[in-house]
Amino acid sequence: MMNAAMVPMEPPTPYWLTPDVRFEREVVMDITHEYMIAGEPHSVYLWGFIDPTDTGEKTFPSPPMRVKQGQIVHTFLKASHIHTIHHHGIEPTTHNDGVGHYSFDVQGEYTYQWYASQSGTYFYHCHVNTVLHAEMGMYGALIIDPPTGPGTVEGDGIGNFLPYDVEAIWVVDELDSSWREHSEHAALCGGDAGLNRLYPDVFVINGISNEATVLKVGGIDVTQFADTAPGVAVNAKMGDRVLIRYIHAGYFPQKVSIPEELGPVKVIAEDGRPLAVAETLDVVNDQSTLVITPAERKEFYLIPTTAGSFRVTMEIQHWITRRVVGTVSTLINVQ
Amino acid sequence: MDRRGFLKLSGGAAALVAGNVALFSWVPRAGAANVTINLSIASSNLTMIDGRVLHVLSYQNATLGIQPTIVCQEGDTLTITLNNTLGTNSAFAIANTDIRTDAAANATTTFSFTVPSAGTYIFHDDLNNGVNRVLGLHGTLVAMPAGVKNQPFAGGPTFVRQYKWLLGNYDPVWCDAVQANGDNYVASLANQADSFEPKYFTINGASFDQTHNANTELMGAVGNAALVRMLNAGMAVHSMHFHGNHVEVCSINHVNHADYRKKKDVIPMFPLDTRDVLLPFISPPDIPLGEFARGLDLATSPQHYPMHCHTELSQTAGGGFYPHGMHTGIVIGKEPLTEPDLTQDVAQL
Repeated sequence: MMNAAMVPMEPPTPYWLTPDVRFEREVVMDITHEYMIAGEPHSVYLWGFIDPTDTGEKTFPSPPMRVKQGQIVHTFLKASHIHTIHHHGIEPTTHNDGVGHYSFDVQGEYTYQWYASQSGTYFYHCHVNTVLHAEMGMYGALIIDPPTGPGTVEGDGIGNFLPYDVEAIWVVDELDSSWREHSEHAALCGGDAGLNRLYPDVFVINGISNEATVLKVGGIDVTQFADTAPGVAVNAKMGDRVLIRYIHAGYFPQKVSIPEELGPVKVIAEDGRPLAVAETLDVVNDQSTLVITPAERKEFYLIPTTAGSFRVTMEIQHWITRRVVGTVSTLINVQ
Repeated sequence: MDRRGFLKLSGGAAALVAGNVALFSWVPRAGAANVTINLSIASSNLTMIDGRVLHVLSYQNATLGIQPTIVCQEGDTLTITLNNTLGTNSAFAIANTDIRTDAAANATTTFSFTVPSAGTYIFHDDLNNGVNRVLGLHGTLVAMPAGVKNQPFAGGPTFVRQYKWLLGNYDPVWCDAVQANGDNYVASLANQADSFEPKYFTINGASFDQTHNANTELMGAVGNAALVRMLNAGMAVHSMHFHGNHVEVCSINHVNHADYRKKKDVIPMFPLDTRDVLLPFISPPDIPLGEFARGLDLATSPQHYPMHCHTELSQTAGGGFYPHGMHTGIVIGKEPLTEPDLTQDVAQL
């Protein structure tokens, strides 16, 4: 086994190919979101990746990557501190997997090279001291569309492409604001930094909680709520085909409850692989429910037939006691 | 120990064999057999990856070691003699079945049962709200299908190698409390379940680079599918993430999937779950073909990947020390120098 962790020595990308698509990501470690914690506003310090080829906006989560099945992809990482990018669910060579203990960490620049073999829902995250770096927010969505691009999704049958009219990407996480006090190298060389203990006090979809969340857009403070935030709340018409790409970015089990009035909710794909036969969620107490564990992805497909605003709730359960430690929810508005 | 010689020496009797993961084997036979095994229930020390020594309770045998793996064939009659040396009552139960017996403190008990249908089973002490189990009283029963060496169940997928990953969590505060206050303190801990705060996370009793051995780290040439039998004996919810290949879900708590197997890169593991998956050992599908055209050869450049729990709190030891927790390796493109014990034993069927 190679074990080069903590020794940044990023090499040239082996077997360099001409990519079909290229992303740039640069590490930033000074993102702040203001969340309400115990009734008071608190600035919560976050890390992430920006896209310097776009606006360079410091967002949480990091900007999504979106490619088409069949493309060769380059992800260029620039990091002034030790980080990597692991494209979760993508299976390239060791060199391009972004796990320092098996290849190398990056303190400088590296171009990850990979092939988008299968459409589906993935995500990317830093894989250095992951317990801390992912908790600090170093992740973003990664979507591989079918070769035809957005608008259809493979599922409920291998090679079966379902059209959708409305799409949402929900990245769901719990944050422990006290972890912001850790050094980025906390406990890497031993010592008890308490990284086995998480007491989350912020619960978010795409970085937005149900209470006022203040973030910067174009350098200006903007207040958002999970019930209404763009990209979180879902607006559809009756009969629309709605695709929700659910990414579990936290560490505690998440119980998702979707009101039965929205009709049957099907899981058509999981972890970037289409299901041969869609699985309809069980209905318990008038809610279609499912428990999702860390890093799983689910593609939910539903066709609402009733107008109204319907609240979808994620209960965050303690990883040992299974008690609910918090919730986050949003609305599916059907006209 | 020369395994074949030992088996020959043992004639037709059941034979105990030693290995990194101790197994219980038997000689080939056409049908079901009567199999016997002795297990003591005792305390012992388990050294964690950072050197911390924990006082644990376990099923053990001088040959089998602690937290043993028992391999049988479905339909066998298994007779177990339990010598409980602890000063507290214990039990032997097979999760998700009706098979169980009590084992009174400082007493010996013998009981028999018919090995259930082919699959992977946790045996454990189910007393005190799971406290006894999480302190170490657990092990693995593998029931092979009758007359089949390379499938998890009749009609299931074919594998070249098989492994078991027994997942555990340890809270040193609990271990110290039992050591300091005596075996009966487990009953007190049963009323303090919320205080359980694990600091060590293990696969087959080991963490991270301790697991780079033939019985835990997955290794094989392209095409050599491996069956991984996962059992969660701990109290935490784990979420096992495979790099390099998606796995095919073969069984979830003994519900088998013969024809269609879902492909996943994360496998949820709730406490007492057993889930069997097949890692197909295909060439990692997101390596661009152009890399092979330019000279990449997995046979000469095997690819190394992690498998780790994505409940990242479990990637720590003693509160830090990432990634020295529930984490092992996958090597694609290279045959192991030593076969996993579980594969060797099944070859004896």
